[in-house]
Amino acid sequence: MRILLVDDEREYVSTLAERLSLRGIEADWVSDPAEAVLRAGEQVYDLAVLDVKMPRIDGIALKRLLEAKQPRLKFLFITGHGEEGAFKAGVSEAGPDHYLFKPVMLDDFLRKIDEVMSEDREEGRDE
Amino acid sequence: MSDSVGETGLKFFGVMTASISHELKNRLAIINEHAGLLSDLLRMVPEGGQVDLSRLDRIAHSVSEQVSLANDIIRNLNRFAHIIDELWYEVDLGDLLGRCRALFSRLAAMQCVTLEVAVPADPVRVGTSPFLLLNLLWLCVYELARASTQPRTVTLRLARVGDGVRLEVESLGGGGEAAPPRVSEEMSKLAETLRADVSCPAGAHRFSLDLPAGPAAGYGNDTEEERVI
Repeated sequence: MRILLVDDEREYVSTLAERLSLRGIEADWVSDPAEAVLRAGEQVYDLAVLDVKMPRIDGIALKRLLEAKQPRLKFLFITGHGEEGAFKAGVSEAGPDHYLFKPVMLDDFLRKIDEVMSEDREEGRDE
Repeated sequence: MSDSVGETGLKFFGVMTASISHELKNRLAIINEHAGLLSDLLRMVPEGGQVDLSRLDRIAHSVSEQVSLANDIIRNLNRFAHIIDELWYEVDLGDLLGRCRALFSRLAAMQCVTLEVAVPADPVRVGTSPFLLLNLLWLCVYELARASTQPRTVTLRLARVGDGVRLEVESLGGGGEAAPPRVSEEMSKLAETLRADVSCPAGAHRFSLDLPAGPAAGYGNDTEEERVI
């Protein structure tokens, strides 16, 4: 599995990527949303993990740009919002299905990744 | 205080505290990942093997840095909360502009705006409502941030002009893709309450705010009823 991690907090995203790599998950990271779009043009990913609030392009808008490059890409959001109500009120459209709140425990993160990717496999069986 | 100024102030307080909570969450998230990485590295040491001590030291140093940043954020939050212990009092405007930068920087960065502060060497003290003045300055910064999507710098500048004091909030760089900045109704009401004049020349990406100078103007000579807005 190959993951693209996008968060403007460079130290956060690089450390998270390293921890995933230690567990055998190929994790690329970028701290600039514009760079994420470029990466998605060069490399196929299974999952994109996006911060919601970032300069220039927020996570929701970035999802649309990445989907245009890779229609089968799955998404998981990480947010600094305090709780679910504030997060859903803060997004401009129907909120994303899969999200976690910072700080994220790695076990929860790995479970969520599994959940998102299992959904993909179940969709595949339905086809 | 009119209800509309009160509502604008509450909204401002909410926006600032929400932003600060996001900042704190980010610091905690980084500390959490560093702690996890330390644990990962220690668990991976082969039996009889050696830990890369310099690596552990770098991680510990990063954690300390994040704790220091979080402490600064909490100190700013505390100062912000105490700014409304009293509504009117004498304040050093240079210090207040420094607080603006500390409070507004994250939200400004989300709009690709870098904040700078330019103040004279000598302190400039005025009697005012620091909370309402911060609110008005935030609305100016936000309006300038909204007016362009390109990266740019917004400077908060302080100068003595005649018998008064002028605060300028000016945006440099970036294009004017969105509607040009203008003085909103909220800004006008806040300025009126502060006994100040706020203006934005047509075509300029700059707000000017003229305040009466000195501790007595609009403050010391008031009756208690007038002071408690």
